[in-house]
Amino acid sequence: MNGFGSARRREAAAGWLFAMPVILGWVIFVAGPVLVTVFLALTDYNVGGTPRFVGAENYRRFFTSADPSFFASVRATALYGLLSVPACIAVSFLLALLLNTKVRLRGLFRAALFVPVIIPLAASSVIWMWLFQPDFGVVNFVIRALGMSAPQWLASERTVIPTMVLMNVWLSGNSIVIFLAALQAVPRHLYEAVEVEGGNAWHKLVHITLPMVSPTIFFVVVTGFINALQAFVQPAIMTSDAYHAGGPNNASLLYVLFIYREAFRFSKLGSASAAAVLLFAVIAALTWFFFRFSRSFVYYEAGERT
Amino acid sequence: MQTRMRLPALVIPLLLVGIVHPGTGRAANKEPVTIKYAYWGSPQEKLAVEKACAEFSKKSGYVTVVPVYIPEQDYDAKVTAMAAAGDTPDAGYCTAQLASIWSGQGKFVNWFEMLAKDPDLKKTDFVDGIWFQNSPDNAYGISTAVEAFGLFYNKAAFKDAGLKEPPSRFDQAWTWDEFVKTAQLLTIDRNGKNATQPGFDPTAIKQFGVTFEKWWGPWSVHVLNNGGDFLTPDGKFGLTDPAATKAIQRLADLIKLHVAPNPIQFKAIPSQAAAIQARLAAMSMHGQWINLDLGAAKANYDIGVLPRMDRNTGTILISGVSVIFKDSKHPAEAWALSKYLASDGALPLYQNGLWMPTMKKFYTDPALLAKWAGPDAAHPPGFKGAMMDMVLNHSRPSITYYVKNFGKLDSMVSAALDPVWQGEQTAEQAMKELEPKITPEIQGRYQLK
Repeated sequence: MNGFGSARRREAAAGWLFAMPVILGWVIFVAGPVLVTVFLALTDYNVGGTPRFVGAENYRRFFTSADPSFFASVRATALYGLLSVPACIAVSFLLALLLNTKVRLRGLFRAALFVPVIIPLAASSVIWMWLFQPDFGVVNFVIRALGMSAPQWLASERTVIPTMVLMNVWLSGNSIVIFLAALQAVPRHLYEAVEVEGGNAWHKLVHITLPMVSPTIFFVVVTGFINALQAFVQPAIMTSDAYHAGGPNNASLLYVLFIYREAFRFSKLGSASAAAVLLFAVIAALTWFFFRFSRSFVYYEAGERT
Repeated sequence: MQTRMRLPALVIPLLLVGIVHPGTGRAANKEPVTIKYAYWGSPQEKLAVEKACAEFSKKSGYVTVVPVYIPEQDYDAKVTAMAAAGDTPDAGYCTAQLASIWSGQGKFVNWFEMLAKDPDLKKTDFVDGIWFQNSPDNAYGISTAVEAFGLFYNKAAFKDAGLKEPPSRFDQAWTWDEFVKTAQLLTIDRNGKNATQPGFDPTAIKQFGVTFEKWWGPWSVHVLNNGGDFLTPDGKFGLTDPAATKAIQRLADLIKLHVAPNPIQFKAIPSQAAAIQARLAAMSMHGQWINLDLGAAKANYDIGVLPRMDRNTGTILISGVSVIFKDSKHPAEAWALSKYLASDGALPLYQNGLWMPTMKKFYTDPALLAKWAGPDAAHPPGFKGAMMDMVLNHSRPSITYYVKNFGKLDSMVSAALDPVWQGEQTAEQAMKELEPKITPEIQGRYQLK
C-alpha cells in the first residue's frame, strides 16, 4: 500500500526517535551546559545577579591577581598529574603482568585488587585519612615500629600531594583490568616465536608484550591524565572543611576544587566558568598532544604496512 | 503495591485535616500555603528545627512549613544551586559569606523594614549587635542565635591537678600568663608528668592544657581583645598590626609550648566537646553551642571567661544569618515564621544549649530566664557570668558582621595561617607576606551606624 519512499521515511523517523534519548541527553546535559559555561565565563555572573559582560576580565584576573591560590592550584594539580599517572601505570602494569601468570589464588588476587574501585571514593578517602593520620594512624605506627621517622602525610605541604598519589595508586584496579585484557589478547604464537629464537622473559616483555599492549598503555595514559586533572573528591574530603579548602596552605587545592570554591564559596560563577573553560582547553590540548605524538611510540597491529 | 497505596491514603486525610482544621479562625478564610525553610545543623538541631516548624504550621492553621535540611559543608553549594534554578527557599539560614554577597544584590527582605510595620515586635526588642547589615537602615538578616566564645573546661581535670577553676566573671579574668601557667600544669603526659616538670614527654601527651579550632572565630576574638582587628577603621588589612599578630602568636605559642595540640595532634581530637568530655584537653576556647553536646553527654564541665589580652577580655557575637528571600511568593508567612524562630519558637533550642536568645526579654524577664538559662546540664553555674553577662555587656560583633568580601579574605588568611600553627612562620611574617596579596581583594567595611 505504502510506497517504498514512505517506508524509508518511516524507518528514518523511527531511527531518529530511537536515537533521541541519547541526542537529547547530550544536547541538554552536555552541549547546553558547555555553551552556557563558555558564555558565562565572559560575564561577572553570580547567582541572583544579572550577568554583565566583562570580556576576558575573568581570565585576566587569574594570571594577574595577587591572590596566590590560582597558581597554587595549578601547581598542585600539575604535580598530582605528573606523579600520579606514571605511578599508577607502572604499578598497575606490573600487577597485571603478575596476575597474567599462573599464580595460585589468581582469582582472589584479581578480586582483591579491584575491590578499592568499588568502594565509594568518599568512603575510602575517610579510611585513608585515618590510616595516614600522623599521630596514631596504622601506617605511622608501623613506620615507627621499624625505627624510622614518620612522615606527616596529609598534614604537611610537602607530602600532601604524594600521599594522595599513593592512594590513587591503590585505586588503579580499573587499569589493572584493562591491562589484563590487553595482555591476554597478545597472541601466544608471538611468544613461542621468541622462545624458538632462544629469547628469555625480558625479550618477550620488551619485544612482544610492550609493543602489543602499547595502544592500551596509550589509552590508560590519556584517560589517566584526564582523570588526574579533574580529581576532586580526595582533597574535598581529606584536606577541606567548612572553612579551608585544599590545605595545608593551598598545597592540595586541586584545580576542580579551586573551581568549586570560586563558584560555591565565593559565589563567583563567571570566574568559576572561566576556570572550567581553561581546564577544558588544557585537557583538549594535552589529549591532542598525546594523539599527535602517539604515532611514534604506539604500535597498531591492524595499521601495519606490509 | 500495598505500601504504595498506603502513603496517599494516609497523606490525603492529613492534608484535608490541615486545610479545614477547626478551631483556628484564620484557617477557614485563608488559602493553604506551603513555604520552605532551609537550614543546617547537628542531629539535635535538625530535630528541634523540624519540631519548631511543625509547631508553627499547627499554630497558623493554614501554613505548611517544609523544613529543608542541608549539611553545613554543602550548604552554600546547595542553596546557590537552588537559587540558580529559581527554586530559592522562602526563608532559612545562610552562611555569613554567602549572605554578604547576596545582600549586595538585594536578594533578602529588610528586617528593619518588616519590624517597623510589625504590630508585635520592635527592633529594640532584640539584643544589640545581632543584625547583619549592609547599611545603617538595611538588615539583610538576623543572627540565627546569639553565640559567644568562652573558656570551657573539665572540672575533674582542675580538681585532680589541685588548681583553682577559671573565673567566670569579667572583672576576674586571668591574665594571659596566669592562663599559660595553668595550661602547662594541666598538660599531662603518659607518665603523669605535667609540662612544667623535668622529663615531661611532649610526644606522648595524654591531656592537653587547652585546645582551640583554627578557623577565624577562635583567633579573631583574641585579636579583638588585644585591640587589633581584621580591618583597620579606615578599611585596610588589619592583621599586620602588632596588636593582631601578638594575639595570634600567643595562640601559636601555646602549640609551641606543647600545651595545645599541633595541627597533626589536633586531628586526633574528634570535636571540642569530646575533648572536654574525655579530657583529651582540660580547657577549650570555643563557642557557646558546645553546651548542647556537653549537656546531652552530662559532662562534668563549667565555663569561664577567656583570659585577658593586653587590652582586656571580651567575647564576640557570632552566628549564622537567618534571612527571608525576596523571591518568596508568601512573604507574610515567611516573615511570620522567621519572627517565630527568632523568638518564642526557638525556646527548645535555648533550653538544650545550642542557642542563646536574640530577644532581650529572655535575659531580663526572670520567668523567661528560668525557662532556659539553668543551672542545668547544658547551662552550668558559670554560664550566667561567662556567657550571659559577657554577651550583654562585654561583646562585639564578630568580623563577619562588618567585613565585606569576607569569604574570600578568610580563605586567604586561613591558608596563610597554616604555617603559623605548624610553627614554621611567625604570625608577623605570615601576615606581612600576605598583606600585598590580600590588599586587592579588600572591599572595606559595611557602615552599620
